[in-house]
Amino acid sequence: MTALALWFALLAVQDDELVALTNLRILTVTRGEIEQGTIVIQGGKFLAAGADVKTPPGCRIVDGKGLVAFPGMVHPHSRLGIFEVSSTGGSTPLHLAYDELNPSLDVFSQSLRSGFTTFGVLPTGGGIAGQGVILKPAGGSRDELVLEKAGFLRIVLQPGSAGKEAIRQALEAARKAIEAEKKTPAAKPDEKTLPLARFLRGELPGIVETAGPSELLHFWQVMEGFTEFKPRVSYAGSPDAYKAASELGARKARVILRPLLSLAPFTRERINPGAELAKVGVEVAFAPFGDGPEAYQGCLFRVSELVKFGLSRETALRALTIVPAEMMGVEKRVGSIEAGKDADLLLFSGDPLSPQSRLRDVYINGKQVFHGE
Amino acid sequence: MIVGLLLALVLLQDPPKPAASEAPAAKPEKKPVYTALVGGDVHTVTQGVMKGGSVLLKDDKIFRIGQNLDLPEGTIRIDVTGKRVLPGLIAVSAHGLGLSNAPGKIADALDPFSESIQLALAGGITSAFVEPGGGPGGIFGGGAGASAPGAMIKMSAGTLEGMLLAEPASVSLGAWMVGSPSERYDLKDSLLKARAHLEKERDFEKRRAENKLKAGETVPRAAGALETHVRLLKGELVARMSAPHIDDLRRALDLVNEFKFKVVLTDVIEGWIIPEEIGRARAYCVVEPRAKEHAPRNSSGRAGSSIEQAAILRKTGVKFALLPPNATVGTGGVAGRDLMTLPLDGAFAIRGGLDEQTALEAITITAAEICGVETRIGSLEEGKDADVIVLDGDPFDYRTFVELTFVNGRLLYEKSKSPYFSHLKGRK
Repeated sequence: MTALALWFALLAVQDDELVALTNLRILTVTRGEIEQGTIVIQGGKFLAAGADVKTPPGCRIVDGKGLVAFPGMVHPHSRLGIFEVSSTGGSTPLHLAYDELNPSLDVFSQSLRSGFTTFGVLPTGGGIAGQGVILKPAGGSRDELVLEKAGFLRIVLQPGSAGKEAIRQALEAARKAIEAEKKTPAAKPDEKTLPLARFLRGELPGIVETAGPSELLHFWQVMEGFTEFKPRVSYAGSPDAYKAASELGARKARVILRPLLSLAPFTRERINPGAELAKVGVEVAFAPFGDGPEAYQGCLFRVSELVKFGLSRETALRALTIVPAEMMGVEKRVGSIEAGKDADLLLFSGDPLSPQSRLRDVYINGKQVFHGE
Repeated sequence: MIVGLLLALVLLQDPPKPAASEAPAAKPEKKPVYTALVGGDVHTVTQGVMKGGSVLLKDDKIFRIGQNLDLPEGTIRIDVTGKRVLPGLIAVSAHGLGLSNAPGKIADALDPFSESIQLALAGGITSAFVEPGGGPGGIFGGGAGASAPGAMIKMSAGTLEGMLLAEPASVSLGAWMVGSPSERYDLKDSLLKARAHLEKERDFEKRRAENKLKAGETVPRAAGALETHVRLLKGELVARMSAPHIDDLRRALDLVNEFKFKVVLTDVIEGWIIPEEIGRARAYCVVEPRAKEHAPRNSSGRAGSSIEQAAILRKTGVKFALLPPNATVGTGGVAGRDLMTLPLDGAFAIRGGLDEQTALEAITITAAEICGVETRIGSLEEGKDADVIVLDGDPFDYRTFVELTFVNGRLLYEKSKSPYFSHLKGRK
């Protein structure tokens, strides 16, 4: 009943209207858990969130008693809205996932009930595949969906000499362009070199995909030639990345995993890859097994299973929100419930990791986009 | 794997300090790590057996071998009383071991997290000659061999550091053995050019020594396939030729005798018939003592295999390495016929009359020599790489297990902690 009332209340929200959701249990992710608190939303942003937040005068108050607030989840490795088959090889840094998007697909509206409110959509391709688009699935036109048109660089390291050489050459060209610009500021990197130059300078986050943990070592071997740069890199694609845990931990790396238990080689002994990596200081993000209702809906359940088998709850919650946001460089916009951030909000009937909880409401930019019974 | 990684961590006295985000781990000043294997029977291979001796490892090298060694402070001491300490075993050919199936250089295809490495370590193998995909498939596979040269790699689980020992480590002359007449001609032509080039180089060196160089004259350079063949004729590289039968052996030896290069004849079945011819060409052999082949009926040319082949080659002075019928590691197939039980191939050669010392050499120092890395590995000697195994019995007894395996000074396998092997107890 409460939720229904809340829904009707929020349908009427004007963009600049002040709304306060009270009596919520709030999992802010970055500022701890608040047993009973208030969230104030205005203009699509969180204005305030906390236990002792005063409801401002003239504010419409909605009672959220019994509900648990969690930030909208962030999917860092999605193919939502793209139906091209992945190809291999090549170096196409200018290719944009944005150009592949089909905004008229109903996958966007279908994903509103998923709990994921920000998607990092990968460009099709191999090698230096291109730049991913970061979007929120609420909006009519393509540009209304987009948070960052070219948000991150997708690098797929193919095993073997050719794959390493392709990356090395592209980075060499970028370094030359950076050095030329230092000497003569007018000598800007050309269009094709710019994404890689931005990557090296840490301005464009990179997501590096490898088939296995050994390719991580090979990638770092390439990067040993570029130690003067501190790019922002996350790693994806290797389910047994935990085998390189000591190396990843020493680098305080970020790793995208599917939420899955694994088996120790030659045994039936369970391994919790996310927990193994978190133990040594690696920042872990969980991405669903694909795009579609089954993958999305199964994700939280699988993550809760990982918590049951030794992953810390805090790591699990961060792995669905702020860590993937950091991977894509949008951590100032999304990924936690904090004043000033986008009001992307989930309201659950109980703890998000409990299998009994249901996702009741989803808000994107302060607007309710889904309400479940 | 986890065991290996943990052990590796334990052995690092100074674990890398957490560096700034995404910066490669800073290398702290490293104190040397000493590990001592104390009280075992040390089978050095090249310098006899020392009863109740100790082997002291310093980082990735063998530091001292002797009795009553003074151990530096902080030495990790492992009591191996009653055990045998040997150099790590060497596989002169291993299919797909420690590699991804990627094309290109082996340096770029190394897979130190491969589970095949864990199995090889459990079998006491610390180094192997590997080829990129499509290598010769032993006596059953035949074939021209890989087009790209092979490399020597170490079973350095978990790290690329120190994994590549030598690349290239071979020259494939498969075209001579199974190529068309024109391919054989092209190969011979290239070797002739290489010989001419080598003469030019020697002439250059001679005139330089005599100060008779023309102004601006530089060392003649060879590139590509020619360079490889020049290095072969100089003795820097070893050729590999698959030569199972007499006709193959004689065809291979024709080329060897004409150009005088270091050659390894692989998949040899009928070497026992013409050992003198092989010996005169100073060719090495790779022998599979457990391979069996009948002499076909109605053929005057084939005599088939002999379990005595290794012993006969030894009597003639031909050097050889041993391989199992399947040069792989794995958890499938027929037990005891792959690289996980390489010493058993020595046992079969011994059954055919070979002495134990030569059998041991054939899976250690001679194997290293065949792969061109005998100065680094293949025996327990001070200054050589710290690739060491500890056995709980006679290496040629089928009841013997590998208990410890060190590669580059890192303890990477412990039977007592291996989920796959810890419960196995051979009956003595």
